[in-house]
Amino acid sequence: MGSLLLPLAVAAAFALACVPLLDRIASTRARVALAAAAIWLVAAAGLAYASVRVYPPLPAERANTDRPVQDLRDGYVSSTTCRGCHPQQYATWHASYHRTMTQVATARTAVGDFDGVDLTFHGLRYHLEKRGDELWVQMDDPTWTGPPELVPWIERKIVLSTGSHHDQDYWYATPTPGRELRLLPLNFRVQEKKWVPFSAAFLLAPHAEFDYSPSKWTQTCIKCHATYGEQQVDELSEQVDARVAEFGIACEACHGPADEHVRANRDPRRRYQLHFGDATDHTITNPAKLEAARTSEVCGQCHGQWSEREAGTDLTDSPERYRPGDVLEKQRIYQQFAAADPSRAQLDPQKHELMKYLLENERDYILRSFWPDGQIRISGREYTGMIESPCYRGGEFTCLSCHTMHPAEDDPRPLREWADDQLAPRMGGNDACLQCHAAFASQDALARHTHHAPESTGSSCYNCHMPWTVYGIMKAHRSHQIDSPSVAATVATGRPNACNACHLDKTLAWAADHLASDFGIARPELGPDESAIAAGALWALRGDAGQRILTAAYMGWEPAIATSHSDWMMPYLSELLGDPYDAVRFVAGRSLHRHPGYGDVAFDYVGSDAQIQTAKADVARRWAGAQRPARGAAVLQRGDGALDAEVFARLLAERNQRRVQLDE
Amino acid sequence: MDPTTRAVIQRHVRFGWISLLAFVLLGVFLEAMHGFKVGWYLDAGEETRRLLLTLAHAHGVLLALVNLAFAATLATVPGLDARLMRIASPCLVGAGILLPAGFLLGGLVTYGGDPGLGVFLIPPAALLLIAGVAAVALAALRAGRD
Repeated sequence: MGSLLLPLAVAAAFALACVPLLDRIASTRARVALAAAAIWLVAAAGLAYASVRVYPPLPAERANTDRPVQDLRDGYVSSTTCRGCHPQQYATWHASYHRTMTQVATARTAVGDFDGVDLTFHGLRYHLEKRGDELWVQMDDPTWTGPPELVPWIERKIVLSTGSHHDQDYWYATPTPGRELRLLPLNFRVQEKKWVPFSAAFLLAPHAEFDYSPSKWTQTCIKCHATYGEQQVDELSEQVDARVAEFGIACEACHGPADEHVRANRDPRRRYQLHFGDATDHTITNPAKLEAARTSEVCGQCHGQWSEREAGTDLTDSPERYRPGDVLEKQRIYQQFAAADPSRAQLDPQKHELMKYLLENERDYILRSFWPDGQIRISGREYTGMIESPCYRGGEFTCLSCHTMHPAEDDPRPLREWADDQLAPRMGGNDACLQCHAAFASQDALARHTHHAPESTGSSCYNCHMPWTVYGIMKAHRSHQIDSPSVAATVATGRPNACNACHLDKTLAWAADHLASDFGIARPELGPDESAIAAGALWALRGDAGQRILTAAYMGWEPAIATSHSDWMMPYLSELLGDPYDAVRFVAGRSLHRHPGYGDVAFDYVGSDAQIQTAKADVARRWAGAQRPARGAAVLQRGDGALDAEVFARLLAERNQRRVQLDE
Repeated sequence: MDPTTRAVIQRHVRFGWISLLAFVLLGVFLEAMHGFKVGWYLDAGEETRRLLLTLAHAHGVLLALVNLAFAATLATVPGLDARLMRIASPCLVGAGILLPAGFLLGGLVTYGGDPGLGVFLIPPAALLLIAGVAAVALAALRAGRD
C-alpha cells in the first residue's frame, strides 16, 4: 500500500498543477492535450486506489509470524522462476503430489471438510470452520494433561497442511512466540472423504504415544516435505525460526539451487547452443544425467531411512549439507543392518558403530521401520530397500529406471494417472524388468521361469520379486528391496512371502515345497500349524498387528481373491473388523467391501464397539446364509463347510500381542 | 494520381486483404484448437507454443491492417514524399511477412521456454516495421506542413 502512495501523490500534484497552467498556454490544442493528460492521470490513480482497496495486497511472506515461511536464499529461486523456461516440466511437477506435500492451509488448498463440522474422537471434541479464506479449529486442548473434566476449550488457526493424495494432515499455530506448529490430531482421508483420528492414520497400538510436540514439523517434517528447509533457534529466547525455499517438494529439491543456472541462461546464445548441442549444462543438476548412484541418491535424500553424521546438518546452510548431485552418505548415514557386521567396520566406521548401537540398544526403535532381517517395512523409504537389491548393485539401476518425474509430451496417460505412482511409460508391468532381464521376454521363457501361465498374475515380476510387504498411509506397498520369495524369511521374520500373499489359502509348507521343487530353494523346518493351516489364516489370527494389516490388505487384493477364492475369507476379515488397532480395522473394512455380497456392509472403523459388533454380526449372517463350497481344513473349515471354531479360537489365543508401531 | 502510386496502392491493397484473410483463418484455426482441446496447443506445458501462435495471429492481422491503412493513406493524402513512400512500401510488406512468420515458425517447434529458430526473423522484421512506420509518419508530417 505504501508503495502506491507516492505515485498517487505525484499524479494528484501534477493534476492540480495543471489547473493554473491552462490559462497560460496559448495554443488550444496544447490546452486540450494537457487537460486530457491530467484527467487521464487522475482517473488512473483513482482506479489504482480503488483496486487496492477492493483487493488488498497479500502481506509479505516474512510477515507471517505464526508459521514457517518461504524465504529464497542460498541460490534458491523457486518454481515460479523455473516455469518461464521449462513449462512442460513445470506442468508435470504441478500435477504431482510432490507439489502439494506442504501447502499454506487455506480454504482453497484444504481437502478436508471445514464447513462447521463437529467431531468427537477418543473423548476430545473438535469444531472445524472456515473464516473467509482461513481455517480454524476449536477443540478440547489435545495437549492437556490435567483432569479430563477440566480440559480447556481452545481456538487455533490452522496454518499448514501436509499431503493431498491419500490423506491430508493439518498443523495449527501455537500461541507461544516462534514458528513452531502442533499437529491437529485429525486426519482427512481423501478417498473416503472422512475425518479420522490421527492415531488411525499410522499403525499405532491403542493409546500408543505419538510425537505431537511442537517441534515435529520444524525439526522433522521440514526436511522432506518442503524444499531446502532451515531451522534456527535463538539461544536466549529459544524461539524457533523455520523457513523453507518453497513449501512442498519443488524443482530445486531435486535439481539444487538454480540461481547460477538462471543467470547464465539469460544469454540466448547459450540457451540455443545447449538446445542444439550435446553439452551438459553444468549450472544445474539434472538427476537423469548423473552417474547411477548419484541419480538414486537424489530420490534417496527423502525416500530413505537415515541419521545425520553430524547432528543438525540437515537443516543448516552449511556447505556440508547434501545438495542434489553430492555423495549422499558424506553427510548422512543410511541405515543398513549389514553395516553392523564386523567385516564392515573399516569400510565406514561411523556407520558401523551406529548400526551396532541401534541393533544392540534400540531394537524396538529400529523394528518400527525394519523387518528383523533388515528389510525396510514402512512406506516412503524405497531407496533404503532399493540399495539392498541385487539389481542396484549392478551399478546401472536407478529410481529412474522405472519412474519418471516428468512424463514426456507424447505420454498418452493423463497426468492424474501418472501422478499416482510416477511410473515411466510401460513400467507398470514386466517391461520394467525386461529392460535388463530380456531372457524372459518370450512367453515360453517366462512360463518356464515362473511356473505360472505367462499372462497370469503369477507371472508378474513385481508380484514375486517386489511383494506387498511394506505398510504406510493405510495401505500395503510393494517392497523396493527386490528379492526372491522365501518361506525361511517368513519363518525368521514374520514377513509374508510372495507366494502366500497371493495363495492365502495354502500353507507355508505348500509354498516351501514348490519353491524347493521349482526353484531349488531350501525348505526350512516348519511346525505343525505351518504345515497344516493356511498362511492367510495364521497371519490373520496369530500374527502381530504388522502381519494382520498386510493380510487384511491381501484379502482385498484382486489377484489374491481370484487365486485363493473369496468365500472362506469372511470369518477372518470379520475378526479383523474388531481388531484393537484402528488401522487394521480400516484396511479390513476396505477389503471386505471389495468382496461380492459384502460391499454394502455398514462398517465404521472408528465407530463404537456396539457398531463394530453389529457389522461383524452382519458379516457372519451373510456368510452363514451363503451357498459356498467347502474349502478344507487348511482354512479351518470342517467337512460341512462350517468354521472350525475350536482351532480358530486357539490361534486367536496364541496371537502375537507385541505392540507394533509403524509410523512413517 | 500517377501510375506508380496507383501500382503501389494496388500492391498494398492486395497484400493487405490476402494477408488479413490468411491470419483471420489462422485465428479460426487457433479457436478450433481451443474448441477441440488439442493438447499440442493447449497443454499446460505448451505455453510457449500457444503464446507464439497467438502472437503470429495478432501480428498478422495487425500488419495486414497497417498495409491497408498505408494504401488508404497513399490514396487520400496528397503530397506525400515519394522517396519516403518508396522506403515505406517494401518495409511494410516485408514486416507483414516476416513478423507473423517469425512467430509462427517459432511456435511450431519449441525448446521448453524458448521458441524455435524462426523467432530470429522477428528482430529484422521489427526493424522493417519501425522503418516503414517512421517513413510514413515523416511523410505525413511533411505533407501537413506543405
